Amino acid sequence: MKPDPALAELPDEKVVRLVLRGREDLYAILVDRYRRRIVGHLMRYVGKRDDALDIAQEVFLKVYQNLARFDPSYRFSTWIYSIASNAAIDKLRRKKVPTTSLDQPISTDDGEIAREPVGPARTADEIVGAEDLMAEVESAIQRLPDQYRELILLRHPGGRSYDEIASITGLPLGTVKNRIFRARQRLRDDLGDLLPAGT
Amino acid sequence: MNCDDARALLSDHVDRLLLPNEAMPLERHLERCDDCRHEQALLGSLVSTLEGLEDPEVPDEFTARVMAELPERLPAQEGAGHVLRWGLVCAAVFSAFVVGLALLPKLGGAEVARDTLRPLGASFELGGLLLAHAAVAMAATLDRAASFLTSLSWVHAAGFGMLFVGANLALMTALRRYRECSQPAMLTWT
Repeated sequence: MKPDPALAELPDEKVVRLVLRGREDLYAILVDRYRRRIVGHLMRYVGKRDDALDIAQEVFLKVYQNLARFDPSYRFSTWIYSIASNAAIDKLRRKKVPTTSLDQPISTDDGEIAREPVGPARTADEIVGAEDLMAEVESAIQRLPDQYRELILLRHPGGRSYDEIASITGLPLGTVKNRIFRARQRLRDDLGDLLPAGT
Repeated sequence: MNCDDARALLSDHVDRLLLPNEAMPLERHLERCDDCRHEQALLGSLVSTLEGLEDPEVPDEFTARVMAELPERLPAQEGAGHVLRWGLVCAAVFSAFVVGLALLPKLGGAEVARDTLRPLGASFELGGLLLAHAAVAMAATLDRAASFLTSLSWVHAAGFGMLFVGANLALMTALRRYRECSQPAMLTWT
């Protein structure tokens, strides 16, 4: 059953308060409100939509189980993204997904050889549509080292402030700014001429 | 400002985080440097592209699945917060009990208690026992109240606190007037 539309407009923190006061059914408002953003965020971490959906379900359960510990002086979105990011990092660690940088050479018996991308590199002419560009951007994000990917995904999309990202990750503000700067540099180098410079 | 200095600031410039005294020299440099201007345009384009990333559609069944998995009761607060909350509740109940005992005779409550309890053959001990039972009931209520209070924002909590103090002052005034009007005999428990 869908919650009352008037209640669905309430700010996150008020919904949390009502859930804690016995309106457990209203937790559906928060799930509805965040499910796309959290699944999108997780998908860019782990790469697969199905994995992202599974982790998102765990995240929403964990948030609910710890709702009484939520500190209302923080934003609910900060808290849920913090739990989602940690869940994604845990998942990647458990799966031991290789996330080595493309810049790193491959060690072989004959010494080290430079990495080459699988398949022919796509040129700007081949990437004509906005969807293609987005797919390239998603791939470039996947190729970022974990520490950069985590922060760039908290920054974009959504434009969370550096302070909020520092709260989510527990990292010093300077480290957050520096890593986002580096992540952008890498993405810019990776995407090269695909980006329209006129915008 | 040279190109290296300018490029170190471009990311913050795109985010509009630079102070005027940092932004002005950068903008002056960008006016005369084509390469840095191109770099700034690329960075701006990257940021707007990243902001344009769309989240996937997630069907309504997802919410239904999550809601079906939730435990029937919201888990109670655990750990240090839980212990602290119960500590506060116990302290509040104990204080209320002691203050109540101290104030009861002065406020004429002793007479009320005597009139209601004596015909039942009640004693001071039974009165104390009843008070203790009332305190336990109050503890359960206070636990719920504490849960409510911890979920309040600071503004609401401050408002609630002022209301609480005001209500207590009004109650004390009413009791004092009642005592002055009825002039009950000061009795002591025996």
